[in-house]
Amino acid sequence: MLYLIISALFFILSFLIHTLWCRYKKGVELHITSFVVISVMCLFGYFAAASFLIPQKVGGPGIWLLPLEKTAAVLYFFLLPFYLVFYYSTMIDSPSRRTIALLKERGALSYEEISREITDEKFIMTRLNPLVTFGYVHFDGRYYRLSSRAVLSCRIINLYQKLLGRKIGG
Amino acid sequence: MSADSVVILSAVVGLAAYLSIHFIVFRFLEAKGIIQGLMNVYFIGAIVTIVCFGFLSYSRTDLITTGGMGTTVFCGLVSFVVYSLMCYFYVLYIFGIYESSIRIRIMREFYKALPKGLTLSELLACYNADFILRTRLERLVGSGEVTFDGVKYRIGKCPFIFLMLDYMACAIKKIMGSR
Repeated sequence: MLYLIISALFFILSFLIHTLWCRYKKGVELHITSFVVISVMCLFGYFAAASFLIPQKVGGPGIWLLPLEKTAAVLYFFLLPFYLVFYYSTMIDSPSRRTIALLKERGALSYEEISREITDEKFIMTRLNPLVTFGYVHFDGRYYRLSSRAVLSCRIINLYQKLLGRKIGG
Repeated sequence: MSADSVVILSAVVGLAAYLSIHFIVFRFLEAKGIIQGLMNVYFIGAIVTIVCFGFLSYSRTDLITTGGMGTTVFCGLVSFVVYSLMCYFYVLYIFGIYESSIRIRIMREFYKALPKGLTLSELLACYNADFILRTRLERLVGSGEVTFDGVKYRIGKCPFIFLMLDYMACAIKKIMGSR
């Protein structure tokens, strides 16, 4: 239990440092890389704390001194993407979330009424423009073409589709 | 085998069972059955995790004899939590991205058009907001979170995941200042 508590505390610490970082930076962009760096540093912090703070007699009877050092590290590792989903959703609206929000706000809506809010400008262009900005797609003024790193990503996704046996998602 | 290894190994075996069943079952599932399908496969994987933990803690460790039943149950719960987080990671960061990411779909449309590429109007002819909305509504109606009476869509059973996402996103926004 002590290991789990220490890893949870380090997870909270990484969240707090990231929050302070975002408040300090003020901009509207996502700070994912900074969170990854902060959380890796906190993971090292966890291992250091687990080595020095926990008494040597782990493994005795009872829950508190259970030797779950690696389990606590695994839990820490998987808590990071758990937080990132919520952080990401502060900036990016999903069509499902938007639909639910509309129905919650207005009660009942027809397909046409919902489709007025789910537009190409809001959900295609807001995804396409960053792809161009970050170099995944090249735009020559008329044609959009994939960059080589995006081609590699698409090949991996095609392989996954073959394994999964489903039709194209989106 | 240490308690640490038993907890992690049980979760990994549960995840392996989850993925095996997932890859078989999802070949035949339509969009409307996806959310329910994910839940069903998750529960099967959870049962495998618990059974595997019980077997390993009984046969490969002295967890039950030295730690007592309370400690064993606690380790079983931790194993279940690790399994759940692994599934969450897979569903959101691998399957979810494949199944519903708009960016990935846009990239795949460009990939199909290699080496020429696509104009914006060509892209919107094969993938657009109308397609996105139809797929989402089919999924939401299938999971019961939205109901459809033939004319109007309404909120069905409590859309817990989306409400939680909204609530957490608002809380994080507030904590991080005005973003």
